[in-house]
Parts: sequence; C-alpha cells; structure tokens
Amino acid sequence: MKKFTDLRRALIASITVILAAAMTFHSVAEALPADFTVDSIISLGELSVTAIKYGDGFKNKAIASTTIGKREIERYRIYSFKDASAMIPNFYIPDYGSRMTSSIYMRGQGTRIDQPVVGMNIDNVPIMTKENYDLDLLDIERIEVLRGPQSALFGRNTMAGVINVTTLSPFNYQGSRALLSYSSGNSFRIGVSTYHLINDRLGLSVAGGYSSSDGFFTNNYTGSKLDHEKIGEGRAKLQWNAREDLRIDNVLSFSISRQGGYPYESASRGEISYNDTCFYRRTNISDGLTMELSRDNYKMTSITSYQYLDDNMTLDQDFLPVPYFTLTQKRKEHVLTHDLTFQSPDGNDKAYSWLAGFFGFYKRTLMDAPVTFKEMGIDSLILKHRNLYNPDYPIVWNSPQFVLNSNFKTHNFGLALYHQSTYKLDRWTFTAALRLDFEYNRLDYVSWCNTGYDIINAADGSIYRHDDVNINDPGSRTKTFLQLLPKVSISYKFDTPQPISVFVSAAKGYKAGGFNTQMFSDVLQQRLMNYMGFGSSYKVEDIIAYKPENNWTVEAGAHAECFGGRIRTDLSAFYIHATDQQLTMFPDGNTTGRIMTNAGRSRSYGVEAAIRANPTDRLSISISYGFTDARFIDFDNGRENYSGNFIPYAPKNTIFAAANYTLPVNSTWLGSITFDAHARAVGEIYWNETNDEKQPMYCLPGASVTLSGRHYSLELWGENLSNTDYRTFYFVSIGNAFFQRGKPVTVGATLRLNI
Amino acid sequence: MKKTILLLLATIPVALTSCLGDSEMSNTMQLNAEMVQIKSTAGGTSSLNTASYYFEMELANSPYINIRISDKDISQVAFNIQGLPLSVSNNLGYTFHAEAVTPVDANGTPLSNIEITNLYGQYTGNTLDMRYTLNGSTQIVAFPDGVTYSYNEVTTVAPDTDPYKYDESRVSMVYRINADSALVDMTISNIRFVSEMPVMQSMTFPSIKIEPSITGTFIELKADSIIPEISNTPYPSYKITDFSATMNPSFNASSFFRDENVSGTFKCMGMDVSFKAQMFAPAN
Repeated sequence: MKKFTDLRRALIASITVILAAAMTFHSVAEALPADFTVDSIISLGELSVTAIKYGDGFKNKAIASTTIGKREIERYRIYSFKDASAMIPNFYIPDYGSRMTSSIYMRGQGTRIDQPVVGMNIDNVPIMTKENYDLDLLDIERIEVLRGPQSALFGRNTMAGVINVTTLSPFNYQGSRALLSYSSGNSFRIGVSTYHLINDRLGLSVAGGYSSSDGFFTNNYTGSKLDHEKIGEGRAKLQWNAREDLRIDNVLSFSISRQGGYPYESASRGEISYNDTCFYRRTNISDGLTMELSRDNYKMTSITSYQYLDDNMTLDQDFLPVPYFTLTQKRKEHVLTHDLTFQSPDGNDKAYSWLAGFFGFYKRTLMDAPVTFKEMGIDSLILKHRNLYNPDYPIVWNSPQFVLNSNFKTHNFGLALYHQSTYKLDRWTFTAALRLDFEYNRLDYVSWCNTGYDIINAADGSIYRHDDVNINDPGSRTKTFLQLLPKVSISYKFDTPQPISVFVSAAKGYKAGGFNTQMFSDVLQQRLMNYMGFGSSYKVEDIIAYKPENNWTVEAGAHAECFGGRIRTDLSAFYIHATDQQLTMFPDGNTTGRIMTNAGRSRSYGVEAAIRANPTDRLSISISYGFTDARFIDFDNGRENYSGNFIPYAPKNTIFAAANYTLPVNSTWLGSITFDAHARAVGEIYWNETNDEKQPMYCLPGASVTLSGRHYSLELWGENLSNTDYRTFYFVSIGNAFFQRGKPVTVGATLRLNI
Repeated sequence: MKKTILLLLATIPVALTSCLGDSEMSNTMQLNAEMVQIKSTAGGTSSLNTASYYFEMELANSPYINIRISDKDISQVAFNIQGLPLSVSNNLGYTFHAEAVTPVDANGTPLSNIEITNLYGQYTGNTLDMRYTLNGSTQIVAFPDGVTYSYNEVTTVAPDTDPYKYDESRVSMVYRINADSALVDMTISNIRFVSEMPVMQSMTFPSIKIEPSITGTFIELKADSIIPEISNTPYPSYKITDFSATMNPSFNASSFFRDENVSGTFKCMGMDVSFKAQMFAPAN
C-alpha cells in the first residue's frame, strides 16, 4: 500500500494544479472554431518523414503517439527533445552527464550506453548516433513521439519508438523572429531567424542561435561551476516546389557545443569534488535532402542525408579529488543515409494502399580512447594488489603516470527493404508491414601501452629486475546481423459524429548489435597485470561483440474526440517481451571490467493515457500519465541473479499535468495574458539491478505568465518551483557510489519577437 | 566429446604432412623427441634418464608405427621396431601394442640381444607415451619431458573455514622434468588458493626434487620448502612447505591414459592445499 502513496500524492498534486481551471469546464461545450489552432495537426501534404510513412496525422492510426505543437514547444521552452521528458506518457529522458548522454527510456526500455531504443529524425534526417540526439534547435514546429516498435518502417534502434522533430517551414511562416531569454545560472539564449518566400514556389529560411550558462553545480575541489555550457547553432532550410509533381527540401544545419558537465556527487562524501577536468565538446554538421515525386499511379520519396560528428569527451573517471585515472574519447564520424520509398499516390481512395522502400546507410568512425593511469590509480588499482602479495619484492613504477591507448576504426553499413500494405474494409483498417534488415559491422582496433617498472629487493633495497611493458595488440572483428521485422495492426473507426477509433497491434523491434569498445582499456589493464603474473586473461573474441536485442510488443489503444474536438483522448495498454537483452555484466573470472552482452530477458507492461481539453477557447488543460512495470525475467550477470527485479533507470510512472488560461486584453500594446501552471512527476526509479537504491517519485511544479502582443510575447516563468531535491542518475565506479542531482528552482524571462 | 576433439586434433598434423598417391591416400607423420625414461629393474631399483625416440606413423591406410630408439644404456646402435599396427579409438587416439617383438638395426638385421615384451603405446596428437619390458627384467616408461595436465581440482583447507575448492576449467599444470638433475619445475596457471587471492597467471614451484618410485610407474616429488615464482619473481610470502606429490607421467597399460595423473599436498600461508590433476578428462 505504501508503494502507491507517492503515486497518489503526485497524482493529487498534479490534478490540483488543473482542478481550478477544470471547474470552469462547460457541460455542453461548443465545437472548436474551424480556424482554431490544434497543436497536433500536421499540415496537409507536408514533406516530413512522418507524413511520408504514416500519412497525415495519427488520429485514426494504430499507433500510440503524442504530438507536441509549436504553442506548447514555446510555452514549455522546448529547445531539445530532452526538455519534453515526461510530457509524453512513459517517456523519460534523465538530464545528467553531458549532451553526449542522451539516454531515453520508453515503456521501461532504455539504455545508458551504445545503441538507443528510440530513433530520432530531425527534419527527416535519421540521426544515426545517439551522441547527436541532444541538439538545441530554434523554431521547432512540432515534435512527434511514436511509442512502441517502429522497426518495420524505421529499422534499427526504434524498438521502443521514434521521435520526429520538424522545424518551422518558410511556407508556414514568413517574416523574422528573434528570441532573447535570461534565467537562473546566468543562463541566456539568443536566436534570430528569418523566413521568406522568394517566389510562390521557393522558400528559404535561415536561423542562428547562441546560448550560454554558468551552470548550477559547483566542484568543491576547484570552487567553480562545472556544468557550464556554450552552444552555437545554425540552420538553413530551402524548400522548392520545382514542379506541380516535384518538391525538394534541403536542410543544412550545424551545432557547436562546449560544455563542462558531469556534476557527479559522491554519495559517501556528500559533495561534488574531483581534480581532473571533465568536458564534452561536440561539433556536428548535417544536411538532409528530401525529394518527392507525385505521379498518377505512385508517389516516390527520397531522403538523403550526410551527418558529421567531431566530439571529445574527457572525464575524471574516478570523480574523486585524487589523481586516479582519466578517460578521453575523441571521435570523428561520417554518416551517409538514403531512404527511398514508393507508395500509393496522394488522394488514393481505393481500399488497398501500399508503401515499399529501401533504406541504406554507411557509417565510418575513427576513435581514440586513451585511459591515463595517474599516481594514485597506479598505486590503488595495480601496485596495491601486486605488492600486497609480494612485500619482499615490491614493484615501483618508473613514471608518475602512463597511458593505455586504444584506437578504433569502424565501418558500419546497413541495407533494408520494407513494405507495408493497408486494406480498408468499411470501418476496419488492416495493416501489415515487413522489413528485412541487414547490417555489417567491422571493427579494426589497436591497443598499446609502453611503460615499465622496477622490482625491488626489499631486503637490501636494490633493484632485483627491471621489466619493460610493451603491449601492442592489433586486431579486427566483423559482425553481420540479419533481421526480419514484422508488424500487424487492426483498427476500427466507430460510426460516431466525433472520431473514435480503437486498435490492436503486434510488432517486432530491434536494437542493433555492436562492439564493446569500452572494454579495451580493461583488457589492456589486465594484459598489464599479466606481466606481473596477475589478472585475468580476456579472450577478446568472446567479449568484443554483442548481438542485436529484440522485442515483441502487443498493444491495444483508442483515440477519441468529443465535444467538437474540445476533448481529445489517447489511451493504450501494452505488453513487451524482450529477448537477447543488451545488458552490462561481468565477464568470467576476477576482473573489474564490464561488458555489454546479450544476457537477459525482460518483460514490461503498462498503460498510457493522454487527455487534452479545451473547455473554452481561452482555457486549455492537458494531462498525460504513463505506468510501466518492467522487470527482468532472466538476468544473471555472472555474479548475481536479478530475475524478477525491476529494470534500473526506467521510471514506473510519468505524469504531466498542465492548465493555461488566456485572458484577452486587446489594447494597443497588449493582446492577451496567458497564465500557465504545470507539473511533471516521475518515479520511482531503481538505480541498480539489485533494486536496493532508488529515487522515489518526485514532482516538479512550474508556472508562467505570458504577455503577448501582435509582434511579441514576454514570458516570465519558473521551473521546479518547489525546489524539489531529486536525483537524475546514480552509478558506482571503482567501489564508490555517485549520483547527479536534478536542477534546483529555476526562474527566467523569455522575449520572442515576430516581425 | 573432448576425446573426439583430441582425435580430430591428432589428424591435423597428419593432414598437413599427407601426400596423395595415384591410387590411394597416404598420411604419414614423423616425430622426433627427447623423452624421459623411468627404468625399473626386477631388483627394485629405479632410475631416470633421457633417450632419443623417433616415430614414423602411417595413419590413413592400415595404420602402423615404426619406432627408433637411441639409448646407449641398452645398445650402442639405435634399434628399430617396425610395423606395429595402430588402432584408432575415439576415446584413446592411436594406440599400439605388441606382446613380444625383436628389434632390428638400421639394415633390418634382428638384434638378438634385445627383447621387447609387453609394449604399449599411445599417441594423442599432443603426446606420445610408451612403456615396455626390456629383456624380461627392466620395465621402461618413456614420456615427454614436459607434461601438461588440463583437468585439475585444487582444494584449500584453512583453519576454521570451510574447504575452498577451485576447479576452474582454465587451470592447468605443467611439469618440466630434467632427468639429468632429477628436478622438476611445476607450474600452475590461472590458480588461486583462496577466494581473496587474485587469480595468478602462473605460479612456478621451481626445482622440486624427484625420484622414481620402487614400482617404477610413478615419480615422487618432495620438497620441504619452496619459494614459488610468479612472473619470474620470487614470492617469499607464498612460501610453500611440506610439498609432496605423486605423478604418473605415463599411461596405465591396461587402460591406457586414463590414470595419467598427478596428486599432492602442500602448505601455503598456514593453509593446507591439496590438488589432483589429470591429463585427460576423467572417465564418466
């Protein structure tokens, strides 16, 4: 019963926020005016990957989805997908580490490292590297989050869902916009963009922005803030309706991010204090070219993209105020993708419609990942063990630090064919899709270490022997994966004045396999220990690769509108069975390393509800709730058996509740005042497989007042107004527990100009 | 299963040295080895020495083995045992046996002063062991000077604790026998004696004194005190005392290699350690 106390409390708190507003709800509401802007509507015929693959909107589709429109995006200051965490049922993105982290948890599934479970498209460009997910974008027009496996149409790493982000189009808005924001943490953001139609067929927009923050968390060792950040970004969008039947869009964007990050607090010391610098630096460039050719008998769409990533993550790996060891991971990556689809023509009123496509990608990555062992690291992680067992002949290292070097070169390409058939029979819609996905992955690596030590004869202090350590281990591994990814669904649209539909679906999803590059420093460390006669011997071929993870999701749901569209409801219930689950586990033997391996099975079930109501034209209420019970069915990490335990890092509940009321003023300078109150609640979250550390459910209330005129809006806002203390991350490194706190109360002002 | 694999392994070098004739396939292989010999006389004395053995085997058609032994203690000239048929078994690899055979010299002339009886031999792909009786009175066991045991079990009994058994499959024991000095280096790889100990890549017990037993089929290893070496560095803190072991370095003729094993005890850091090891998987 205690378990439900936190949930009940959060629900009551959230519902209280909107209760007063809901009191004004008219028992007989009028239908929404025809020109009322509804956030979730997709522009008819829009050239977005969602529209290409799913048509216009999800209203009657057999998909659990949430669309966040431009008004909500501005109201809740969503610049990155991370800002939408918990606004969508069972969708949680913890804000920790750096922009490299980007861990997404959906319906109890998620991952901290390597392959994500949720795919992402930004202006049709499929982001092929998780480290590129967390981008700040100006003028986001819409974010669509599709929950459940989308692998049949989107392929790899979409086993839990897909996020599609669309930025503003020059065909939807013409003029110039400016953004100026200042908030806690000496954070400011400026953005300027301009949208023009050069002629009635050609539109061009250019956007640029810069943001900076001093951060919120202080490193007690240096006395300075460590989660500081500076970001510059730019985007140019060209849209050309070349002919009546041919449209071409090209979006070129870049982002440069320089941040500190990693405000990890020692659980035992109760402070953030470490001596070596942590930072994450990222530069990325992407270009996406979308072409659509509409003919009488078919429509062809081509999406081609190029993505470039240059990043550098450097960590004080021990997060302690002592010279232990540091890690740097520098990477340069080039990605090419191409998605070609053929489908039934627009306006097809036949019972049968179809879609077929080809997807291919090539990804080439070069990465340097040196681990530097410093004085105390050498002493604690190597010498302490060695010399404890042989005090008569102790070892003395010849240098205060040494480097375990690893270089990696990966070639990764994939080819896929997919097809979807849809048959409408009266009010029934039957859909079946199938994808054949092939992936090739090759890793070339070289690990080396050059150092040395003296063995001392303790009896007389003389040097008994000097050993040089010269390790040079090159190698190469290749893996291929072949996946068959089906999906079937049935939906039924009721014969009612207001659209109401129900659906059931079953789909297979998959997360790509890969290589355990993070293991190489440990392999090298063990090789070093082997010189001294200790340490485990890894068989690289046994630990280097892991297979794809698969899941099957069975889902039932409903979409309903009533009161003339003033209330819109989406409900869903799901059951997920995951096999070959990619989990971190300990290799055989006595090692300190961990590897990603296909060790487990899990199941997850839950329910989701999203209700949006507009009782009046001035009042808007929305509430989203997601519940997930995700547990291991079978997971033995080589040391303990966690079967039956909750899957860590995935929250059991997500709640978002919001109400806003717009008071018309209609004066020369002030058109309206909008009051908003909202709350996000998340939890509980278990931090480890043993389930003995957890974050209880917490609630973050926020509010804003927005003054709007014809060409401007000024928003005064606050988040986490209760200054709730909560944790967003927890981990254990070399026996020490660390966590990251969530941001404290934050207030700010945002000015937007539309000229 | 492992024996099947052994047999398959045994065929690899054969295949590498094979040559194809016009009508039938021939697989021959040669093996030259300095082997350790235990010689036990009917009078009850045993001794160790080294002799040169040369084996030539035809493994494909009508398998047979030719053996040439150069042992100055027996004969000033090398003597040959020709054309002993080889038997093939999934469990045992290649085995050979002769109740009685008269060796010949290099020209094929019988050496009437040498009589070999009760000859048993076995080739597994990794090792070739044999035993025989010379002139009805001296039993000779011949085996390689390096013996590896792959199936091991190490049990440690420390005061006031439950026995700690470590039978990790990667543990192996290697005995390097120096017949001239009658010393053996024993190396245990991937071993630890208690759970708190790190796994050691290899621990060598150097220069253990050996002597053939009275029966001539075993070697007794004894040492009052040994300073083990890890990575060629002495570890006085792991000082070994009261070391005693018995090894049967060659097969038991009646059942071939199933009894090829070593077992022993020693003390280390106040703990009593016992171990036993077999070259091949224990019979089910």
